[in-house]
Amino acid sequence: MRRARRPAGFSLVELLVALGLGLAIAVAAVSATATALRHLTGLALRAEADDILALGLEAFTLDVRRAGFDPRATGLAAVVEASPARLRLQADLDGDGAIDATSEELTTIACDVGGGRLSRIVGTQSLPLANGVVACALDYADETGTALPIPPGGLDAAARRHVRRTTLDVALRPPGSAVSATRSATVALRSMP
Amino acid sequence: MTRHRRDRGGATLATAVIVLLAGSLLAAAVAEIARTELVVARSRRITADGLAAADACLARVTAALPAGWDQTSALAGPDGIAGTVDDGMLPAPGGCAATLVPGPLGALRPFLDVAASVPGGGRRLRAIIGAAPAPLPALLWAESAAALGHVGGRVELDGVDPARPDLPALPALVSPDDPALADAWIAGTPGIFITGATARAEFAPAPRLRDTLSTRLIDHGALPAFTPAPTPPPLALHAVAGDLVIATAGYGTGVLAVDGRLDIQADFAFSGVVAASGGVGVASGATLRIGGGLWLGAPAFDVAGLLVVRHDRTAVDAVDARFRLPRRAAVAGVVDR
Repeated sequence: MRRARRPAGFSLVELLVALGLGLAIAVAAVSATATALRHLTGLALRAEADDILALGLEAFTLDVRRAGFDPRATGLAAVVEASPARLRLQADLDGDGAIDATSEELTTIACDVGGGRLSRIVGTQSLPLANGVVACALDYADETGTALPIPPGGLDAAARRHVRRTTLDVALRPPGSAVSATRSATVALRSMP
Repeated sequence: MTRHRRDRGGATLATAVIVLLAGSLLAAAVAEIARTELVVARSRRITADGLAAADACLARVTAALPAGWDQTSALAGPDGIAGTVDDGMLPAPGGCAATLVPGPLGALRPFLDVAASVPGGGRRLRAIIGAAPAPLPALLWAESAAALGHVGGRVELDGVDPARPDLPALPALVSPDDPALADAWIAGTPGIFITGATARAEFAPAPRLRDTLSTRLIDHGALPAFTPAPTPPPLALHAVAGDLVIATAGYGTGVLAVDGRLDIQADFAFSGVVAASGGVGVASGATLRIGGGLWLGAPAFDVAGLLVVRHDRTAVDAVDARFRLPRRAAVAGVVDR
């Protein structure tokens, strides 16, 4: 007896179910990939922000450590400007007894939160250390670690002589990132007052 | 006619390959970021370790530099002869090399070059070596902690200056030996009384009591003899060659440097710095009171009576203004190289 052959192909219902499932899987896959890409991008941005901040704080650290380097004992002041937004330092690096204002002997760490920038000004040349800065502040302490109150115009010459350590707090939010990277460094001046 | 089986796995395979490919790319990107960050972090750690090692080396080498008025002797190197190949070579901890070279002001403010090695890298510093701001490192500055002598009477040490609450308390004793030796001697000597917040014994290079101090004092017009005054006298410098015996009660002010043993056989008070290269003896019933500092060679003590040393920065500053006292070396500036 000859049996009836099962018709080949899919029924409409099977096709619709298959299409629906395929679409759902495709949407889920695209969504997962997009999320992963977003996280990956965020991770990369955050890592880059951390690196930028680390480099910026290293520049700040080296500048503060060498401030007041004075081989000829001329009585060089290490700190020539100190406010929450600007720290200007000098060091007689070539030992000639004078400060060359156009060289590395005079450096400024400048916070410009409005412009989103942390800069290192060497002489008169401004070098950006970080862009996308959302918070940036400098503060100062004496040799006992007591914070020095900063008047609106910054520390005066007498107060600047008492500065023995300084702290830079920076927060950076890379473009397209919702998360800020924050870093802080406290550095002691190594020159004797 | 043979009917071919329909290939229904193609689309699934393609999708799986695409998904796998995308996943692999993502994983590779994450791995690359992680690898880069590891490299950066390692580099940063080497930098930080190197800086810490160089700073530690600088601190240890500086602490061991001779106390005095300049670094001429250290610049001459281990053989003590200037102009030889070992000029400026200094002993340094492992993983570190230290060399002293003259600065623009010569031996007054030489450069100390330090190179520290850490696994994966290293760091170099150049420091200016100046003098410590404070003239006295401690109440008692001894040439050796191994020969502090005998105290059968009483020694009172007070490192707190009541007139200068802004100053930290001075340590009781410093010497170029292991502070544990001095601590053990103090603990094992029942006649020693340390009052106030006076700190424990510390390390410091020995003061150069013989020759150098006397020579400098004589250059500054020091008198070759000393007699106690009935009332506190004006500040004066004294450099006495050989032993000195004080058998009459009285006072002194300024610097009393004895190139030998100082024997106290009466009540004697001194404001300033007393230095005795042969140590100090205080007879039973006698008293030596010093407001300032006491610098001693070995053996330091032979005390049967009473010896009192208290921190008096005003008296020391007055002496320092007339005759600059020797100081420990200190870092006056640093450049990372």
